[in-house]
Amino acid sequence: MTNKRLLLAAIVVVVTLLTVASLLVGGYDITVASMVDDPAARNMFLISRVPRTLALIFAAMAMSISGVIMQMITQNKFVEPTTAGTAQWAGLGVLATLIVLPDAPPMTKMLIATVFALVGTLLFVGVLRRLSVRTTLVVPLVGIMLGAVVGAVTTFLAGTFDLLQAMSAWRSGGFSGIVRGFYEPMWAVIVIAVLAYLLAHRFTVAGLGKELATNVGMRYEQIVLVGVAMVAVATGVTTVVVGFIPFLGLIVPNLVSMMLGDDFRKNLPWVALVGAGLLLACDLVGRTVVAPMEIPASVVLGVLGAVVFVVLIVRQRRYVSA
Amino acid sequence: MRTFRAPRLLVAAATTSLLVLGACSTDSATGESPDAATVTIETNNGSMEVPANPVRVAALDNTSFETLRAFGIEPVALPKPIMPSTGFEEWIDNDAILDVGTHREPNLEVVSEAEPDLIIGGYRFQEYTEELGQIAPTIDISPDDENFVDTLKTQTETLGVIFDKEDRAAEIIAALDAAEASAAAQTTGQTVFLANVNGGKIDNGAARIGRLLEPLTLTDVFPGQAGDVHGDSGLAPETIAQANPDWVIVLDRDAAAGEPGSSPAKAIFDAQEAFADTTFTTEDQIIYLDPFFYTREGIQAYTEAFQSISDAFENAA
Repeated sequence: MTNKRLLLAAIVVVVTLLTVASLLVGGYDITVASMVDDPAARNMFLISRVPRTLALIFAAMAMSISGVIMQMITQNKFVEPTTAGTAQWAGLGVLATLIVLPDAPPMTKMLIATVFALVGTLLFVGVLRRLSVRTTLVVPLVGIMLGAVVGAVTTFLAGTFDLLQAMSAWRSGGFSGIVRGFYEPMWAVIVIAVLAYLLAHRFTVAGLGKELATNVGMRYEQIVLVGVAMVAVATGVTTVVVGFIPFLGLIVPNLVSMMLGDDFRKNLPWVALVGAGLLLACDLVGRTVVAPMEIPASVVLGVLGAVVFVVLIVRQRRYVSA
Repeated sequence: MRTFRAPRLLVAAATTSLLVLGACSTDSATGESPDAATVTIETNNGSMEVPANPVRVAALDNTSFETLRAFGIEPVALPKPIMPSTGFEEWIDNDAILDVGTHREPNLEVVSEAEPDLIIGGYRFQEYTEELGQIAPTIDISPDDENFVDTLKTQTETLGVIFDKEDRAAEIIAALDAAEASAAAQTTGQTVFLANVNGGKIDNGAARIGRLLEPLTLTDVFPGQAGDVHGDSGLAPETIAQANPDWVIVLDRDAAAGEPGSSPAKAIFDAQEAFADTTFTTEDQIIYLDPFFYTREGIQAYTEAFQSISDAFENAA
């Protein structure tokens, strides 16, 4: 017990330090001292560092909380927005706006991406229900397959409409371009996080399966729809603002479960916190290794995430209940 | 894909190489007009003998298109999907000109079908030079990465020799020389950031348009090959603000895809609060290249670019 407390305290300290580091590391000369007596440094801090750090935290929350919700709904520990096709559908939505409404304001793009993400996720949930074999690996494989099909359609359309380069630039999931005025819709993630916390027990019950949930008097379909909608909004907003962030929704909930057990509501704040820490760390690596250029956080995360994904799959029988 | 295509290609190659062999034996009376003469030119793969004044030309290297057009030559095959969508409508919409497809998945059968006398390969199609050579004589005279602007001139000269348009080639080169000299005279060591705006993101464009600086006296604030043309990297606005360059030259990759006349890159630069106090913003020293610069990249595109750099610097002085 004390060990666990110690671990949680350590997580809080590390994530706080990473947040401070994210606020202090970057291409513009900003120090604690210069912020006091140089208005230009103070200004840049507010234009660039604060928005970027907030966007990282929000995106991490969006992806890891989406991961938990989807894992509950599908009763599978390996499902998250990028392994269920949600993010790829949001990407198709973004491409659709680029083709049909290239000059649309960001809010419209987000709305369209969210609708696409919603349709895609419902499709995934629908396909799962028709599946007779729902083993641990089949479910994410189906999601990855659906995502790959949508991704292929997106790439084909992008090629046809001469948008391939724009798509790849946008898809890479970097935070380098995040400044004031470019990230604000991500505040919506806070709403999703609070909602997830309030509805946590319902998702837990839904996670026990349709029959059990209905037996205890819950409207199962309704809560699934609400969950999917929340995931769609969080993924849609994140996809439009920063692009794909792979694996975060998969590794963070599983790591937290391994530490704390499977209490969804109790875990939720820690999922958000660990996710934020991980993404902040990846972005800090991306920001420093090739300075003044940057590597997108998603690339760093992709390398890390792929390794953890394999480890989790190999060790699933011991740690992950399917 | 490759394994399926190879046998058919071999057949095509075998038949065409027979034809080529026939054409090459100069002293055999083939019954063709005496125009079947050849010229020897320098290519990136050494010197080569090619048919003089070829009639059927498959043009794959986009840097050669505008010069060919200036010579009054209409190719028989082109990579239409990667051509500038504005300015080449006559060629793109002409169904008699076959479409080879993109450099990523070129349809070499189509090249063969077009029965070219000469294939202008190289550049984006560099890796196919050998395969194309089995269809018809294939030259790679595309400009060199290290010495781009000068080799654009060499390329133009060579095309002039092949098509017997040396005078026209000299005029085109003179235009570049003039624009280049005038831009060089205006630039006196100012700092510059070469921006590549793609998918709404500002990135380092040095890898792609750094060649513009070859003859100029400008200091690139982020020199070298850092920054990927295809977007898997980033550059934060605050980093650009810290570098505080005097000038910015922008390659607007989004403009080519958007509405004609719109400038997505300009909207992005204008909306950047982080740039508010930089020299290039306060002095309004941002040059936007032609929206199709990236797909043109020929001697004419560079002439225009040097001209606009020269004009912008002159106006600012």
